[in-house]
Amino acid sequence: MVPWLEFRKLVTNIKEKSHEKKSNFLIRTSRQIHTIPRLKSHFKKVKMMINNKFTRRRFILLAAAGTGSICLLPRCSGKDSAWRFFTDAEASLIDAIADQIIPGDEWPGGKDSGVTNFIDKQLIGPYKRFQSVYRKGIAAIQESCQTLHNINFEELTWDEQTAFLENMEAGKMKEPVWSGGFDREFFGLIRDHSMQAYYGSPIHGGNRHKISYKMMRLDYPVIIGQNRYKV
Amino acid sequence: MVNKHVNVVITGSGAGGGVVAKELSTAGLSVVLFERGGWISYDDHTDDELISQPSGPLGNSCGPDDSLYRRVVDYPDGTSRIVLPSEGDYNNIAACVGSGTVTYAALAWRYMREDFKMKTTYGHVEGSTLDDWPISYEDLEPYYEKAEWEIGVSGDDSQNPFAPPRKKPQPMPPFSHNKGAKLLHDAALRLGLHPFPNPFLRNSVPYGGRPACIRMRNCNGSPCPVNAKNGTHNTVIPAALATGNCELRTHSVVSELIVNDQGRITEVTYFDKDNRRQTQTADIVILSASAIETARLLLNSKSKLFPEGIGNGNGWVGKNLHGHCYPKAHGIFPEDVYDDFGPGSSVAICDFNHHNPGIVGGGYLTNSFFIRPYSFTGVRPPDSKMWGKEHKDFQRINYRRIIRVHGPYQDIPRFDQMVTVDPGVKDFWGIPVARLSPSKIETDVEGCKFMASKAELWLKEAGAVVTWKSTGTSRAVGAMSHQAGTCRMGNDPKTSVTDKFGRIHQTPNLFVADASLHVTNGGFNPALTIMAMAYRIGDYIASEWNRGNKFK
Repeated sequence: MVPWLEFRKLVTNIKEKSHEKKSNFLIRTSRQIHTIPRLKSHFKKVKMMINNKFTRRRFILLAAAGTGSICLLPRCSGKDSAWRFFTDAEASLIDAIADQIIPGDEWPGGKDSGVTNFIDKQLIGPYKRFQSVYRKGIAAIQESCQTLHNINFEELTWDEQTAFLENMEAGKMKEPVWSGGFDREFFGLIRDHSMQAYYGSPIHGGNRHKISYKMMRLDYPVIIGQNRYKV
Repeated sequence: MVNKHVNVVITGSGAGGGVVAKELSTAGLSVVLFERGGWISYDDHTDDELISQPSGPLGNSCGPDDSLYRRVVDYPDGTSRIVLPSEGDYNNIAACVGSGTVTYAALAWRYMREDFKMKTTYGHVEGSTLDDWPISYEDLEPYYEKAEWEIGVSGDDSQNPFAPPRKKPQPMPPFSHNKGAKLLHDAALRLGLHPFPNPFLRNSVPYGGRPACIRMRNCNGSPCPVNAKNGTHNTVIPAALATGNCELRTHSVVSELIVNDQGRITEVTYFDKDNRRQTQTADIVILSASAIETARLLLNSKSKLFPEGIGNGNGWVGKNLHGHCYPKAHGIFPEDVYDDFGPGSSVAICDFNHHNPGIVGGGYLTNSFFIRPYSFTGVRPPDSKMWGKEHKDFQRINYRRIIRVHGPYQDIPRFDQMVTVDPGVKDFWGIPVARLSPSKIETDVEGCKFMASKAELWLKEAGAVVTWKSTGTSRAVGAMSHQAGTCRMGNDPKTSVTDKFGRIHQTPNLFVADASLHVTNGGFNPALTIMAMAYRIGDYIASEWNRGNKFK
């Protein structure tokens, strides 16, 4: 087979796979709704999905009551998630880190502005190549937290979290999983991606309600020929 | 289907290719202009920072596409890796009709007389291949003028005492300064420097049937929403198409040049928009695919006659790759200096372009284009926190209080900074990709420090209370969109790839018309020089052709 055909096959495979994944990320929580471009039709879908979700939950609850076990919940298998790439547990860690990187004050922090949604969205798109880094890095953070504090990162105090990330940034992590500079590399990646999310165009899933533009006193969207009024 | 034979094939529709296409098609030659991308519309691409050129982290809105292209990049520590077009080390230029001229900053500089005579001016520089151009500023002057008037330039060189002589002024008046530029203008005068408004390939008044610039904040890296930025896509290419002699073949990737036993190029092979392999025969072939891609195409065209690639008998194809370093300084002002009167850059000084003590060359300095919000997250004084509360506060408080002064510093060409092809790594079409290797000889750090300190001094005089600077040199090859030098022109076939009209020494009918030709790259953005050179080459080919020289 000529090389470009192989290449195309590869690309098609990737496309097919991401298509498969769609069934997962069609179930969205409200936090993702704002990123959907064609609101009207999608709202309908989302509404339907939310309804479906409720029905499903009710079904599961009923089933659980019937069998006396809640392990019929798909979450138990760890495969179902409200996210496209992350598991719920992974997303909750990224939420916590995003808030450390961009803390909330009178302006929303990383979590509320949709940083996790941005990263999750890019990880099945342009940042597909970082999937394994995220999987490995997230596990490494929780593993280190368990070793050091016996709890997950999200349960650390604010200052403990900050200190933990500062150690990552400085390349001071001791656990073998971080060897070869992986601590700095992974921290750098999350830092950059969080900044892209918060300060980039909302079209990519972060910067909810153009919050960073408002914070920096930039009127957006740019209205052609009219972008110079006092703000 | 067999393509009809044409007189001229041109690969790439950027600053060089677009101009040559127009010159030759208006002279009556039939032309096929190849472009690997397509036409750009603003609605499709907008001014989104994360997908802006040259390297938005999420991709390049005007191409090249991450899913199709690759390059291999070597680092000074001996490691190397495969990079995507959306990564900085790729050194990409937009892949669309007009190429870099759609998304560029549109600075419209003429190189100075000294820039064509670097060896004469500075003597031999150890470790470099610094040399004079085979042509002088005077040879190129009429073509600079033609480029300025046909494509459209605003500016006023009479305010710049260091500007090379010109016969005609620039066709449009210069742009007015925004708040930050006014501060810098006055400060430069106080320092005894010579500030003047930057020349731009951008309409300060309606010109060429297109409207004036609307001064929006995002310009560099994005297409223009009102068509006020002048590139080849909205000037010479439409003119070429209107002659009826030029066919623009978009989404077509030229993969190889085919040479006969006499050393004449007979045809090119390419992949069309449906990725089918095709051939196109022509009397003359002109390469204008940018310094990296032109070299790659020559190196990928191996034959019995040219086992190391066409024109590469002496091993000079792909060598001397260079661009510019960008020494810079930032200053924080006590009050807002940002007035949203875009796109930002407008005041320049050429006081440090040449004749700086102990330094070879130099460059101009200017206030930068507005720094966009995400890029601004990397703009901090040394030892600042790069995340957390402090970082966010800095973003909020100082975004409107910072001016960056920077400029392209004349990079001294080195033979071992080069483009080769990597037979092990292929792009979507199976064509071996370009491999970029940095020189073992260090960049002129002292010169960059000198420029950065001048930039810092300027900001301080303008009222900045906190300043910091950096040399703007890069670890890997940092040629970016100013990439040049890979098919150097010269009179000696032993130490150059083309003659002074851009014709490859060993092949009678193969020309180059892009920055690959540049012997040195000036202390300026190269776009107008690429255009002027293309006018000159087009003029030469057309007049020879019509005199009966068929370049056999």
